Amino acid sequence: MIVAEVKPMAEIQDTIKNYSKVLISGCGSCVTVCLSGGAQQVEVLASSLRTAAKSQGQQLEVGEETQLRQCDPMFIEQIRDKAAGYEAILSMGCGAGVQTMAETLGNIPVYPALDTVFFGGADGQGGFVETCAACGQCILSRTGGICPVARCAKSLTDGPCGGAQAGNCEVSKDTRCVWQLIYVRLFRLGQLHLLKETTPPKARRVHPARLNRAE
Amino acid sequence: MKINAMPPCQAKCPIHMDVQGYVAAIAGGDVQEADRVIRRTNPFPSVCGRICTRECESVCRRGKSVDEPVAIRALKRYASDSAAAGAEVPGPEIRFSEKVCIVGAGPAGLTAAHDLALMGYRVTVYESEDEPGGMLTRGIPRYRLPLDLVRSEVDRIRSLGVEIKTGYMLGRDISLQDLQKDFDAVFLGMGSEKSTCPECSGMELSGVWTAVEFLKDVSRGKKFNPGNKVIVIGGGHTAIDAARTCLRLGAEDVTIAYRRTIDEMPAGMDEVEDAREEGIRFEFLTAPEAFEGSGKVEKMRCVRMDLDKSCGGKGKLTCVEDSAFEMEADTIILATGYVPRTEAVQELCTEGGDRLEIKDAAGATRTPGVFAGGDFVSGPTTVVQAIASGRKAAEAVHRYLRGMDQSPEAQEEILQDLDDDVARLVPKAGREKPVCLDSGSRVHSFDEVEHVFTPEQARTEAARCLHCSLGAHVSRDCAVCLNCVLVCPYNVPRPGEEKAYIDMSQCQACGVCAGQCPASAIDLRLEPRTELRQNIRRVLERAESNSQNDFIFGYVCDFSRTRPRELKGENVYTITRPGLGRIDVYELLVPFEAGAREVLVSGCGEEDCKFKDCSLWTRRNVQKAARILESIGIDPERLKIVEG
Amino acid sequence: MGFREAVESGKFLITAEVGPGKGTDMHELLEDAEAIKDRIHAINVTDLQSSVMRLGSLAVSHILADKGIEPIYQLTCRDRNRLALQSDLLSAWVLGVKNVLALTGDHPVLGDHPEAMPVFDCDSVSLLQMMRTLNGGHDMAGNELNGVPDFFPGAVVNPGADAGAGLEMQLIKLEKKIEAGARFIQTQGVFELDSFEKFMKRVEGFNVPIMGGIIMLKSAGMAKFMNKNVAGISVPESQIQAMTDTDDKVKTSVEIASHLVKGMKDMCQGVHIMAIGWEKKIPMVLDEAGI
Ligand SMILES: Cc1cc2nc3c(=O)[nH]c(=O)nc-3n(C[C@H](O)[C@H](O)[C@H](O)COP(=O)(O)OP(=O)(O)OC[C@H]3O[C@@H](n4cnc5c(N)ncnc54)[C@H](O)[C@@H]3O)c2cc1C
Ligand code: SF4
Ligand code: SF4
Ligand code: SF4
Ligand code: SF4
Repeated sequence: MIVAEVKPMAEIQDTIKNYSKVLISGCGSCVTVCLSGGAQQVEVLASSLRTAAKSQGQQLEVGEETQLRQCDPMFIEQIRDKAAGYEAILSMGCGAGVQTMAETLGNIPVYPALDTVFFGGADGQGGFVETCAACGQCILSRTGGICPVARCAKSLTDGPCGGAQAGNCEVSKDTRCVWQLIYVRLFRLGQLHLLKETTPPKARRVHPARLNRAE
Repeated sequence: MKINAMPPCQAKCPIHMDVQGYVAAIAGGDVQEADRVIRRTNPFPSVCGRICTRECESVCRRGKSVDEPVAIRALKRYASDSAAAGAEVPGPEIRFSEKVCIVGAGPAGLTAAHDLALMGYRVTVYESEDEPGGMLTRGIPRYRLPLDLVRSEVDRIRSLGVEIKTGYMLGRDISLQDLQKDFDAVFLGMGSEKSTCPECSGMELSGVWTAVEFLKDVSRGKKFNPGNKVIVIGGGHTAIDAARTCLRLGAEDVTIAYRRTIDEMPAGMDEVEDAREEGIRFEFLTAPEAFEGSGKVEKMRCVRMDLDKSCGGKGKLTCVEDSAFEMEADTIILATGYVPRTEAVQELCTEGGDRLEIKDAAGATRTPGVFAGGDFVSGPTTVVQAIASGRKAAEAVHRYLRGMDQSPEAQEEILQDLDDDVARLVPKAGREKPVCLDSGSRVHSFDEVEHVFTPEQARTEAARCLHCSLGAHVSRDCAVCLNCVLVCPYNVPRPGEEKAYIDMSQCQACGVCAGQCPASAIDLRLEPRTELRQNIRRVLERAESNSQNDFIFGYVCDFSRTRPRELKGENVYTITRPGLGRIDVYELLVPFEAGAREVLVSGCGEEDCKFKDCSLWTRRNVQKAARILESIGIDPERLKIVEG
Repeated sequence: MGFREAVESGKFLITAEVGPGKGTDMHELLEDAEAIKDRIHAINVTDLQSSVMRLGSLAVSHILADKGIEPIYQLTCRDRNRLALQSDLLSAWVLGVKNVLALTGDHPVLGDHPEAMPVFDCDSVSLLQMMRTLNGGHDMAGNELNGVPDFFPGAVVNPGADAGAGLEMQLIKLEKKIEAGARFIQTQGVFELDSFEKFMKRVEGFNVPIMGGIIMLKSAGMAKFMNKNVAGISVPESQIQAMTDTDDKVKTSVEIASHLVKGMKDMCQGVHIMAIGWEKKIPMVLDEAGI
């Protein structure tokens, strides 16, 4: 899933400071799951912005809306009429959602309320961890199902650097060196020999990627 | 998937009273509402609040799985005793031309009359005694059920326009044929009071009584001197009541002789306990053979019985050989069984027999338009069974008169038992006990033995209810993030086949998950979100218009016992609700939008909370909301938790 | 005799290290280099050590080469993608720089520009392969080179890596580096001869000269700091004590270092002395070690 977090309030306030009618639009998929941009957060942000505006003596009308998936124009179409009644949209979708919305609505400015941070999985209550980098050339078959591209600070694919201390990554004592994890996993799988293979540098992807699965 | 099922207490109650509804109202301090809820299904709350056999409590899930059952009956009594007599409701309009006649003014007949009157029928009740109430006025002794209470319940029924004609006995003063001519439907609720006596010699001796006759005479005010030694034969509540009544009439040595053992006694264990406390002795496995004396009874000859429980049912009784013995007695009271008197309605009985022939659960007899119910059909049961039967009959009469099909009885889905894993996590809290007159002094009068709960007791006791079936449910909006699975203090939610799944049989209705669901997909049946939000909006509007920008807004838990100082006084507006775990960040912030100076959250603190981890989540939500306040330049100290 | 010849002839190798500073002043660095050039086979020039922005190692390597001091050009993958790495290597060659030490590099967050983009398009193994490819007359894409270099590549290993998985993986990676063409290996600083001896047993048969790393202690505080913060370094309590107790830190430091050099003479194929500003003391160390 895509993981995002709510931007600092001051930044959000700054982006909408010139508007008096704003529609906050949440997304019911990934960003709901990562507790950042679902219906509940929409309510909270809306109320916060109204209260802030009121305390500063400003006029601000805030609408609330949540789509099932903001990254598909068909869902955006459903709110086209409602959106037309606002001067700007504050999207609580991921970056993809913001763009789909901006593209679909065309002549209404759409601003992000979230910072999209990574793709990952759940890590305990309220926790999320980056686990995939969408590199386009998956090597998990050789790394015991643990991705060093996403989870090594240097994306090293040929074994660890010399910086690990007590099994933790050189960039943070709170993060296990991913190669430590890979070693343990491969050991358990009886696949340590895979560590001896050399991985050539990856072919870097060209952005933006496109994919056509219709054919 | 079904999202609702009856809690066992309600399912088991013969009239399906909304137990948790009125218990919750009491917990919230609203006795008026509790009384309203009770009266929706029960025309005799003050009666049932005292002498109901509490089938609900026997299945209460708190009692079954956690500690002791909720004291439902005592709470009902508290509500009906404390509720101010409601403004006299104007009698319902007569909507139908048909007239209905009820014979017998016991709880069955009066309930039928009550319901039919509310439906809009003209109802007349014939009662052979000179006062209505049936066993409530003439059988059950005053120390358990004061007479004025029964009278006031009966008066309420009268106030609906029901005419009660006393002193009319079916078979003597009126006949069924007459009634069928004058009325469009008839309900027979004549009780079950013909004694079935054991075959013993000496029945004719003076000092030998049947219990109902005896109790009736006492209730009519007849002076009795039972002498010193009394033996009561039987094991039901009639036996116990007769025995306890004798004590109050001055007898010193009262023994209850019962054929079987304590385990088979039809009377409730609490009644047995009360009797024991008062000094009544029990002789089990004892059966009478003869009553002896010259003119007046002097002793009872009896035998010991042997009970073979292996053959199932109530077991098989045999006399023990050579076990005869004697017991002295000045008075002997037989409380061995009762059957209905059916002589006056022979045409409704089985061919050649004297048993009523009943066609369906609603009490239709062989004759169209004539229905029967209560003990008259079932033999001696209980008040609440009689009420249930009266209710069903009223519905049946209505359907009959309106030419509708009789409705099949709805099959309710009932909640499952609490899993051990969940029950283990429910904080324990023992049951409140009402004060009782001490056993030494109470036997000298007919004063009511059990007292009503104090308001504190009632609220504490009501807070013990687990709100069975009022828990959380997941809507289509679920994004399957599974946060609920992780936050539930009782580990109830699970990943379901499509969405998160919350088992209504296990959910404790603490609301924590509802406050943490990012999709706002969880709602509680115990005060749904729309209701809560409406409340909040209403209170905020009031606050805003009365004291703009200068009010304090408080969220108060129904279950907290004390109200902190900060939440008293002027310009304080509060929302009380059962548990604060579900108050989400938005709900904490929105009062500021309306201009609140402060938002205070008042729970009961970790120690006393009836919900596991509820205060922990409340605190987290408050912290989250405080951080947001800070981010928009509002002093986060303006939102805080206060404790009493 | 050049460094490569020394390696190939099986001599006991001695290298030292200089770190370019922040700014353009090379005065002291050159002075240090001059002071030791006759006692060593080559001098490593570090590449933005600890991810702190400094004068580049290529320019300094070139200047040393010009002065007849043989440099070992340290090259990390942190700041350059494969285009820049290949191009810088070719530049090095034309500037007279032949020895290259291939390193992954520290992460930028550890340095003074923590927000910088970490590149890591290649790693130390692929960087070694890259040099072999260039030496073979092609670039990584297979295009032919017009004018072909002949680098002498080296690599590093951290013998003090966490015992268990950490060390195992260091050894596996060392093998990969050798396979990818590393011709000499320099190690992270070593302080205990016993454990180093064990490490050397593990790499027996790798058939590439290993040069034990020696860091000159300047104070007890520095030793403690390294123990805590530098991966794979563990200065024994006795040495910390000695540095605490001494009146003459230089003398004690030189004693400790020379003791290590002496010990390593029979264990491995050379030493790499990292004096960190005390370069001028290196001759004393070598003297005392009898080299
Ligand atoms: C001593 C005693 C203690 C009890 N304790 C409890 C208890 O603690 N809890 C509990 O739930 N239940 C108790 N019961 C049982 C309960 O009282 C009865 O089950 C209930 O009253 C039955 O209601 P009913 O309306 O069917 O009959 P009844 O209450 O018996 O009412 C029948 C009415 O019909 C009248 N009637 C009879 N024949 C005629 C006729 N021919 N014409 C006109 N009117 C007629 C009678 O006078 C009476 O008023 C007790 C019963 C007794 C006797
Ligand atoms: S310590 Fe491990 S995870 Fe961190 S950069 Fe080095 S190899 Fe990657
Ligand atoms: S806990 Fe409450 S709702 Fe549940 S069975 Fe008992 S009284 Fe009924
Ligand atoms: S917390 Fe809400 S959205 Fe998440 S799984 Fe539970 S019900 Fe679904
Ligand atoms: S958190 Fe509370 S309301 Fe939600 S499922 Fe668990 S027990 Fe029920």
